[in-house]
Amino acid sequence: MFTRELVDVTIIGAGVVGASIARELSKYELRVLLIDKNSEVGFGISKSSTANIIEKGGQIGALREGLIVSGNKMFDKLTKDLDVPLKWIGLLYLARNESEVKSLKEHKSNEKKYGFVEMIGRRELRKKEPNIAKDFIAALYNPRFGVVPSYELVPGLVENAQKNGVELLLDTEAKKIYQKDKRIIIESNEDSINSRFVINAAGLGAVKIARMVDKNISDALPQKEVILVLEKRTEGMVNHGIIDVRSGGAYINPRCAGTITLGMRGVTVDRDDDRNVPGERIQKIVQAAKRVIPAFSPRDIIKSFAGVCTQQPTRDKDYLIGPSKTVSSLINVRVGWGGLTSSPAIAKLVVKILIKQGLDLIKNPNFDPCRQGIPKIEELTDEKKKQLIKKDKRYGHIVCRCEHISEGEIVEAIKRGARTLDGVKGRTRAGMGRCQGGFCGPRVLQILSRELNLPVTKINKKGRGSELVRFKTKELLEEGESQ
Amino acid sequence: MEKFEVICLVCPLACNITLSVQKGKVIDVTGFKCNKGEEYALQEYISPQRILTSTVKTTDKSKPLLPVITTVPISKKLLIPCMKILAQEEIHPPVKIGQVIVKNIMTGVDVIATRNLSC
Amino acid sequence: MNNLVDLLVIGGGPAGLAAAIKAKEAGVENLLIIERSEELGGLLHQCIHDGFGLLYFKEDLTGPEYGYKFIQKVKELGIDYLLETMVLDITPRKEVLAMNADKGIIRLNPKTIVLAMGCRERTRHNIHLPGTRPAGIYTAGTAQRLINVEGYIPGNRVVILGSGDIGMIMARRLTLEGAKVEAVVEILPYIGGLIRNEVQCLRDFDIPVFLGHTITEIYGLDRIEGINISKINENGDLVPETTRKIKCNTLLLSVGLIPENELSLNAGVELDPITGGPVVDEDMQTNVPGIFAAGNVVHILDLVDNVSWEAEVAGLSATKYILGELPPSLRKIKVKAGNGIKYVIPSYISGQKEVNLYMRVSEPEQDVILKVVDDSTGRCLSKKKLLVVRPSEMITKKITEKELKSLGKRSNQLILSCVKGE
Repeated sequence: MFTRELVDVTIIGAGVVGASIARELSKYELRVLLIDKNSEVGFGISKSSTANIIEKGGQIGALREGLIVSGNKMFDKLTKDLDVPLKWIGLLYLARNESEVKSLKEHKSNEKKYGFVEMIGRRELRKKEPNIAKDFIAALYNPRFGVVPSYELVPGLVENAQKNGVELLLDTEAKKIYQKDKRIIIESNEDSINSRFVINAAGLGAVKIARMVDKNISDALPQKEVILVLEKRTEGMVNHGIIDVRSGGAYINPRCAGTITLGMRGVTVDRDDDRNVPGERIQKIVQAAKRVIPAFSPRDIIKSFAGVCTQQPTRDKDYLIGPSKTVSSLINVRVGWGGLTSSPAIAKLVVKILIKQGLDLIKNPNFDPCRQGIPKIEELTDEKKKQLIKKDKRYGHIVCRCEHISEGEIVEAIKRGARTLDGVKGRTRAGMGRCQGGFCGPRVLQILSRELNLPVTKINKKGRGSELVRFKTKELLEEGESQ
Repeated sequence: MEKFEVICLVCPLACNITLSVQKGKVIDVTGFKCNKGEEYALQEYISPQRILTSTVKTTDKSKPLLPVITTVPISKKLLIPCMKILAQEEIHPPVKIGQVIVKNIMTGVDVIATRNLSC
Repeated sequence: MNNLVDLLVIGGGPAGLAAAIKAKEAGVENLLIIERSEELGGLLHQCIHDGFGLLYFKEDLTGPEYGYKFIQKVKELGIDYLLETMVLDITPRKEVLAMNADKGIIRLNPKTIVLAMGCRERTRHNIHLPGTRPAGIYTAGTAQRLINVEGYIPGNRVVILGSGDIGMIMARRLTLEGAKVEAVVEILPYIGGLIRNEVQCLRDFDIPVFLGHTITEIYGLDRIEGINISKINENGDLVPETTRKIKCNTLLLSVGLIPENELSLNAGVELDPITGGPVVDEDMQTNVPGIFAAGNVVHILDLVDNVSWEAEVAGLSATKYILGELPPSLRKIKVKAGNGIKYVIPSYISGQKEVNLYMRVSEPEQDVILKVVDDSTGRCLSKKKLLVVRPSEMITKKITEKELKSLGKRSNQLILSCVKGE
């Protein structure tokens, strides 16, 4: 643990972008501090990210385009090193009439420079997707579209960064930033940080951070997407990512875990803390999805949530990555949709910018790119299961019935940093199944209390203010009033 | 004159019985289909009785609560006061099912354990 | 415990216990109950209220007391059981994979299986509840476990969605523990559970009930702060002028139970889309020979007494199967839900022995006639007048030997109906 005085780089925001930058910087001999205002890593935009690895798409600005294309290429190695699942499911843009086919063909000639894209006809489409509605006649197919669980990716990035020397500070919110003697002071709710460089990767909070130093920063535009999750029994109904190109068309993605997500194009909202899921939106998404896969049933929905992303107020909503005009050692990283795909490339770009700003880099000889994920007892062979249980018998005690998650995995998640119910859920999937934590919830609550040595009444869902149980038994009666 | 409504619980018919009350005295009862209903409605008006089930704290961390029940119904008015008395109790195992946990909590009614608790 | 298991009972709740006891008493030697919790008894431990056993024991017992009688019997009879053990998979060949901390992996290939896994609760996502996703929202059963077993009260200003029995029981429980229950919201125009509970859980404590209402929004980012409710009209549309906001810090959902049949599906068991549970015959046998099912895993029952009786049929049938005495039915007569009936169990009978049919009506009604009609001949096997029927109260109808005698030679379908009387 080093003193705050000697920090070389402080990264504000431990989402997928901030964590990627942290890991990239840990390849060098630097004192790096990663801070986040939430109680867990990846609890900002990354928490409800669609977590797709994309291949461009539409007019999106040169910087963004370049970063998405390079980032896409880096994901195979990244997920292998971090032991995080990744599935290249490919993407099908569906067309149901000649006019839609025409615009897809135009899209194709735009995309071609990035790699392999092809138009496929009705028969090929039906072979790829046997359950698709009869009225689709063609599709544009791009194999370099993938899905990755961001709730595993972000902890993986952070763990590896920490292993290589990065210090993590959670529940730490930057309140004031200013320059002092060629260094930057960050005043947080906890204490002060004195850092040579600061990276603003604060996602929804990036504008606020940028404005602490520069006056003329325009608002980013929050975009809200509602996502529905279908249970694992639906696995196999869809094999690829699907976009129904007509307006109000569905986005369908089979995920690594075997679930299927349904969504639609996001809508711009007024507030970046708008997480309301309107009932009509759920209906719309179900209807749109059924137009593509008629066999989908709303009964299969096990979860619905809203995710908010930022879009920058730039031409073609291009990313804004670069030094602040006033304090050149503050690097603002303002991204948006496509941020997850770009994250490995953004990290490399930020390092280049830091070098330009005068940061000397010496390679860290002890850098280890590899990180072992939490073992998933359910997926192991009998032999490996036996070995794991022998090592720690808590791996034999299944706590999450729906996803078959063991106490061992939950304890390991807590050891690696999870402190909240959602934090455990993200790292293990406990509570992501059919019953949505109905059975395992109280048990995970007790395990968190035991492992963190905190009373159950202090354990929360996703951070301070979201305590799960407010009172101990009889406490309300002892107060002498029934309220 | 006031009207007091009661849903009879004696049989699945669940008759809606109405008592007409003047100056605290029941002057008429209507809506029942049998005598038991009439009796039930009167009891409900004069002094409704309820069984109380609840829990009591224990010193056993793995089983922190012991479920309990009153041996007979008690006046509905006494439910919350009894809950407050029970809130003060803390039981040390072992406990046997049926064991008296609080003798004469109120009006001569005992509170007993509805499960075993081993040491 | 050796690896040769004649009967494996999956689930140590009331259904599993009754099935195992019956089988043991009927002579099955190698019996094993596998239970995922820390003790036998299933949900009975958290149901600390009374009303159990009125039919089975002719006594008014609490959940734990009802469970105790069966758990004692299991111990007296020396029936083997494993606790904190999870069954992970069953194949159609009855190959079972289970796991626990002490034994690690457990692989069994029992001769017969009784599925008694019970049910799970419907979540807010199953009913597409709009709004935010803050802390403080629980299904009623999970809240019941926290309050009655673990010793925690989720919050002190509560709204309950759903007027089924669990919701109403929890309304009373929370009030007694010192919380304020602001409202019970029910989408149907009538109370979902027993009238006894309406009186003793809601009216007793002057808890406001909003019938014909639904939740249209949930507020609060970290912790729930309130909800909006609106009335719905006969077409199921919202009536916006009736929207009102109710402040609360806790929301309990009592919106239905779903039989838990993941393992059944793995085993190739056919499920009934109406009940969500296995299609069973009068022996409680599923379409997979040697796999039986009983209790909430088959259909959601409201009285545990009926669970025990149903499970005993399963246990007895499993015993007969082991002894080679369960004959394949010479005739398979389908039992179908007709007018006014939501579902009826079992789905198939042989027509050769007396059997209890369990059913639920679709709507509450008064002065109805319950009819059993032989579809092949059109003949009415039995007719019964019922004064009051409710969807929340399961109806039992015994098909007697006499009634079976009037079945046609080629009868293959019985229709149950429940309509207003002539």
